[in-house]
Amino acid sequence: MTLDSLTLGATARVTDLQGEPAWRERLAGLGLLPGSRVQLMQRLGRGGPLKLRIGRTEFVMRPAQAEQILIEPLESA
Amino acid sequence: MPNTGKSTLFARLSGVSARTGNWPGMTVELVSARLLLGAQVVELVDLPGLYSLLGAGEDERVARAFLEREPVSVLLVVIAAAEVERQLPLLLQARALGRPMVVALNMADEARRLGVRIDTAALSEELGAPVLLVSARNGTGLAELKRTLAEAAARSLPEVAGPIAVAPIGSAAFEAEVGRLAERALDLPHLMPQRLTDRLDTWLLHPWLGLPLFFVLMWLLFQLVYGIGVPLQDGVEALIGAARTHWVAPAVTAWPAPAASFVLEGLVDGVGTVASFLPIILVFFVLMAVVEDSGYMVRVAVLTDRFMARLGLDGRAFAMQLMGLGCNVPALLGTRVMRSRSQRLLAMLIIPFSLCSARLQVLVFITAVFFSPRVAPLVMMALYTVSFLVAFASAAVWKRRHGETEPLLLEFPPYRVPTLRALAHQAWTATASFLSGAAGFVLAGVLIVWLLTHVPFDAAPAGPDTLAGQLAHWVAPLLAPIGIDSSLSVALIFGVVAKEIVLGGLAVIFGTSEDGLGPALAQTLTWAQAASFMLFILVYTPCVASLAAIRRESRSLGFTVLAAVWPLVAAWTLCFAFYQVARHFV
Repeated sequence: MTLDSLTLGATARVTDLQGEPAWRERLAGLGLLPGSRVQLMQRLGRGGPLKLRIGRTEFVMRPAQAEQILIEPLESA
Repeated sequence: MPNTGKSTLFARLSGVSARTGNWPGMTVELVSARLLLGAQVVELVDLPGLYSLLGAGEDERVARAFLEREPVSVLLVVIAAAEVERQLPLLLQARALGRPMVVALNMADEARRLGVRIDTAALSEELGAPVLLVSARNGTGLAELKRTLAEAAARSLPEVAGPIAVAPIGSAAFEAEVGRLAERALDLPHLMPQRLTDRLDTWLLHPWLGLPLFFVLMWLLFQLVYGIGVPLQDGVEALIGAARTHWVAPAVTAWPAPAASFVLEGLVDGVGTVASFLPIILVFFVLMAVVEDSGYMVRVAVLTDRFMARLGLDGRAFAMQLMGLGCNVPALLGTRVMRSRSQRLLAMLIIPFSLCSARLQVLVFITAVFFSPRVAPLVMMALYTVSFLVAFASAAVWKRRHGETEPLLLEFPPYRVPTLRALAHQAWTATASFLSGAAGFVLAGVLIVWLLTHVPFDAAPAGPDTLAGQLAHWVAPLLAPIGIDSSLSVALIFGVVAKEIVLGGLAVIFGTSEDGLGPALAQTLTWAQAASFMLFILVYTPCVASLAAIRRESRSLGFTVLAAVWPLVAAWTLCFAFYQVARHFV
């Protein structure tokens, strides 16, 4: 499953990143790496940007980019 | 790193000595400052924030190019103390550059509040570089930071780091080391305290309420800029007017007529008009600094992103366009928040279409002359709509050339309360840099318009025998199809200096006072001609102050010419379509 289809408020573990190396490097700079835990905080309208959180960092990306991030959902602890 | 309070820290360290400068091979201007550290003067350069030394964003490219080309004696790496765990890989990359480094963990107060504890001694030992907890906002730890920087700078000679060959952030080696460092030096809270930021975002980024709230906030900001700025502007105008009557006019009475006229009607009036923008510009920058420092600007970009993305822009351009409704000049300078050059240029191309208060004054006057009080508000609303439509259409036309395809990835800082000191500093730097850049351009513009309307000196000012009159005669065949006769076209030349002198210009042309202008216009023009004239005023070439801002900000003469000519083409096309239809209904 990909990050854009995560349910609101749920946490997932990143399993794989697709896309250009430079883009993956930017994501890595935010802490978005295979293995990291990411939470979907807010969805800005249908098809709108996603607000995500990793650790203490919050950021926003478009669903088109979130589609390139493979995840496995975690049971909310 | 972006959003780590780096600019505030820079402002704190540099005081008021900051300047923007061009560096060879850089696409953006970098701010730098000379400061005294211990016994030596060093140059401190504020590089764009970056997530990784290998990133592909414009910011990353600029920072990397600087590090690869410019000699550096000490790297000051600023990261957010609360996010130190995530930012450790960047520190490891910076260490791999092999240049002496000092690490400032900024916003230490916020980290403490969140329960993040950092063993700086252990971290320093691991990184082989001094690590200091500071708070640029409160000024804590800055004296020690300066001392540490001075020691590091004294031990090292400036040297180019050379081609950057470091491991990518996600590499296995870094990951293992980050884990080890975090284990040894960091004590992180398990659960995040629910922050005010989350609750604010629920409302400010709400799918339906977010945009209306944004419009309300922009409207308030707009009210504040003009509520505070306009009285100040009136004050400046009054001061310049008094100086003109009491000092300049008596001083030049003995001069030859053309020289006296040039000083009074050219220099003093022209420069005075532009100078009267200054208070608004200053107030605007203070308020924009609030919007930016508070963390709201990033959210606006996200709110309007979907629509603006189709135009090759993002929401920041939209925010600036709204600010342009007051005065285009500060809005143009406000595009500095955009790092991507192509996106900035596109934004600067569409901002001048915002119906600024100077044009509003002319349009309200003409509307009142030609339309009944019942229709007039609809006419004004239509003009505002046209201004936005022309801007969006222009973006759509030019986006292929100046558009941006970089995927959106914006980091959301928590909301912060900006400090007065940081605001004052930001507003002052922005205003001062505008002044130094625009002065020459404004002078040249004033000189050209004065010459056009006064040469030959024996002709009536702005009359048919002056250069402007002859120019109006030549362009008459072009302007006739859009219903603008040659007397009006002279006024349009005035309008290039500043839209607010169009009315005064018309009064001179019709040989009446500004009071008698309404009836005189009503007698000479049909409503279709008047409406076409208004459309033209709304869309055509930006004023000299705006062009000066565009020239200064784009640092490209070619682009400035485009920004002057494209609106002219758009205005003509629009007026032609309108007038050729409307004249049949007169």
